[in-house]
Amino acid sequence: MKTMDGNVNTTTNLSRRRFLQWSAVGMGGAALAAACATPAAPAASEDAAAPAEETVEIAWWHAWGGTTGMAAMVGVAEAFNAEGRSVQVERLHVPEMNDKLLAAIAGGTPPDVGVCCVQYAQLYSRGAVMPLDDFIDRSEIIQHDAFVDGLIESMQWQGSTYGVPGFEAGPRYGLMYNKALVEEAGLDASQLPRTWEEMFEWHVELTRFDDAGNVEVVGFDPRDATAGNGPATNIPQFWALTYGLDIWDAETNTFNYDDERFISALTTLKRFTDHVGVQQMESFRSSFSGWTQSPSSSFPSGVQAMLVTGYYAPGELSHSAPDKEFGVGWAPVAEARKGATFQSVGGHPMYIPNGVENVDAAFEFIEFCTQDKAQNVIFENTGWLGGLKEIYDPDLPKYQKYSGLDWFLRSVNDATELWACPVIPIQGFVNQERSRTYEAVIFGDKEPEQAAQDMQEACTEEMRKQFPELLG
Amino acid sequence: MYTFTAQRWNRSRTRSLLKGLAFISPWLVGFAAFVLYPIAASAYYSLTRYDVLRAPRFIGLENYIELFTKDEIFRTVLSNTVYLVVLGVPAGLVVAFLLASLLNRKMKARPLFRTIFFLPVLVPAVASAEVWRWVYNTNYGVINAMVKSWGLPVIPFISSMQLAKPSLILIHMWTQGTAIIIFLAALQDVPRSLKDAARVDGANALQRFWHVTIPICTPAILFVTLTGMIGMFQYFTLGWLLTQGGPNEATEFFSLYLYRNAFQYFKMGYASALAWILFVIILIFTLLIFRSSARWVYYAGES
Repeated sequence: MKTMDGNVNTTTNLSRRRFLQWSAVGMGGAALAAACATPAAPAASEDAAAPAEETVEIAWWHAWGGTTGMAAMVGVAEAFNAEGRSVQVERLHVPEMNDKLLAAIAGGTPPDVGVCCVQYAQLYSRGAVMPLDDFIDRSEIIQHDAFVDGLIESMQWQGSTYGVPGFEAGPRYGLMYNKALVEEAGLDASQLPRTWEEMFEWHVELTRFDDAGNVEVVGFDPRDATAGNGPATNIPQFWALTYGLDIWDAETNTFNYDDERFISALTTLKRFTDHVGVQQMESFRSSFSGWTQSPSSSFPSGVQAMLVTGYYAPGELSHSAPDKEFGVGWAPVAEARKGATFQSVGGHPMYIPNGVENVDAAFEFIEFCTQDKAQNVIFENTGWLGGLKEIYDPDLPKYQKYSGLDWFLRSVNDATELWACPVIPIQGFVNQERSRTYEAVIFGDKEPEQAAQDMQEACTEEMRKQFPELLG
Repeated sequence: MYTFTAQRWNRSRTRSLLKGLAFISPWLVGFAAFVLYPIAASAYYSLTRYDVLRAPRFIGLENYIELFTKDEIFRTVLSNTVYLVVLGVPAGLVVAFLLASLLNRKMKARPLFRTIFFLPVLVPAVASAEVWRWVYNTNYGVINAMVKSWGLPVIPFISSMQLAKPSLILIHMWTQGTAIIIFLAALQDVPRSLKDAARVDGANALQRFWHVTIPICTPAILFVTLTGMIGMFQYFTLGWLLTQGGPNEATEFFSLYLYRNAFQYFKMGYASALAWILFVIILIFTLLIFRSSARWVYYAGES
């Protein structure tokens, strides 16, 4: 303390009691001030001229990572920010996004825009994300009918649109095959199997074991890539569709898992597994992982001959297996449906969580992502498409970059059946039940009839518990 | 003999209490906000149907009744978890104690060996999982590559329903560095005089180990057993990273199922009920171990 005469007085009369009292008053005052304070405003003096337009910063979360995925996300954010708009985007890679988004929404701190890899239908049906119809209606860039048939419908719940296809959307089903393995087995690639009976014959011809009985090459893994996935808003349930069954009735909000066709599908799935041996197949799957992005996955590494997968596979394979050649054709169907060709266009929506303040800015970013500049960045880095009808021109020069991609694009128009992805409000539960049901059948714990019946009951019961109002 | 005289409560003591509370108030606030409230909230949510995004709906004990009467997976989960605890905890304990005993002997490069055995604890779980995925891989894994080169069928460590849990226990045995350190400290506390007395009485090395060393170390054994048991009941990371509950639910453990319900199915009420059941189970096991400890734990300070 400095006295009037300028000397420093080192003594103090402040007692502990007084200190505590003042501390309490100080802390209380600070807390009160903090509680009453208005949100921090940009620090600017009154004399300073106000900027012509205030810059709004929005937070964008994406779950995609990896070398190619990250490059695309970074590229899109940079392209958007370089436009000199009044909106700037701050990108954040959020692995395991489902958990974090749920917590952020519940805590009132969601990102302004999200994309990828959450239980979309569960968010739509619980009102966690914002309906975008008004924005789309007002938009000069995005229209409801600008997207491939069925795609925008997979982002709707009870008549409202909760997402816009932006980063990854496209045909989900094509039977890809390794040309060298097919040739080695003496099979004719111009006559691809069209039914599961024919497919099984190929599976037998292509599967190879060593002298000790260890599997070396698997013809077809019925649970790999899109064949083993769904039902979700971005991928339907392949094994039901291939038998011509829609497992979800959107009118009544009920399931059709006890249908004969699903039982037949389970029987076929088991048959393919049994030929390899369930233990061998399980070891194979855990050894190599699946899909096409990684060079160590079974199909790119040349130890799996056939794969049901989506339009992104040609692009991914050009990176993960540049030394191999692949062909593509229609996925097989049940014997009774011979001649049917089916396709489904699914995609990941861009969405705006409820509680977001900068909604217009968030939607401006979504608009940007659907357009050429962003789409080119995404395609160049990953080979992914965005779902706009106008980009489904297989003859565009850029699509010749990846062998087989044009087949996927043509298939959307050529297919005799184009299935929409189901919007099931208990999607996460059903997806896990699907996995559980497949395993129970192939491990022999349940007969297909019993497994199908159990799945029907489990999903119906869960629906009754979580959405009793929808069941009437 | 001490006599207890009740002190009269006066203003000075009240002030003293208030001061004390004021000083620890940051901790009290943190404890109330981040421990007490979540505990109370989860107890309430366990009695509701709650998905975080919509208001909770009170359903009484329905979640608990369903878990015990209808949920078949819960039974599988319970049996998988108990298997892991009953086999994994003793296995880890035995390995840690034996390794600590070895590291307690005079030998060359002892600090180096101690460091090596502690290293797995420092390795992040994701890195551990990747290493073990490679070790267990049936096609190019270090063990199965050898097996294949001998012309034998491969060993499906984590892809077989029978071997998946033991394979995870094997990894658990590898990460016993912390227990080893605790046992090492306990072993160094064993009085030399007791060992010498036993030697004079004619006890051989094994008898000295069994009748002197182990009894003296039982407080440490109790501690490692309790913490190991609690940790094992909450086993999640390696199970999630390596097997995701498979094959065919052979490694679907309690915490995995709880997580699935909370964040995949958005069934936070059901997951809260699972958490409370897990708490009660751990409490029961802890009490049982504590009660049994009177028979087998030796405290040198007690007469």
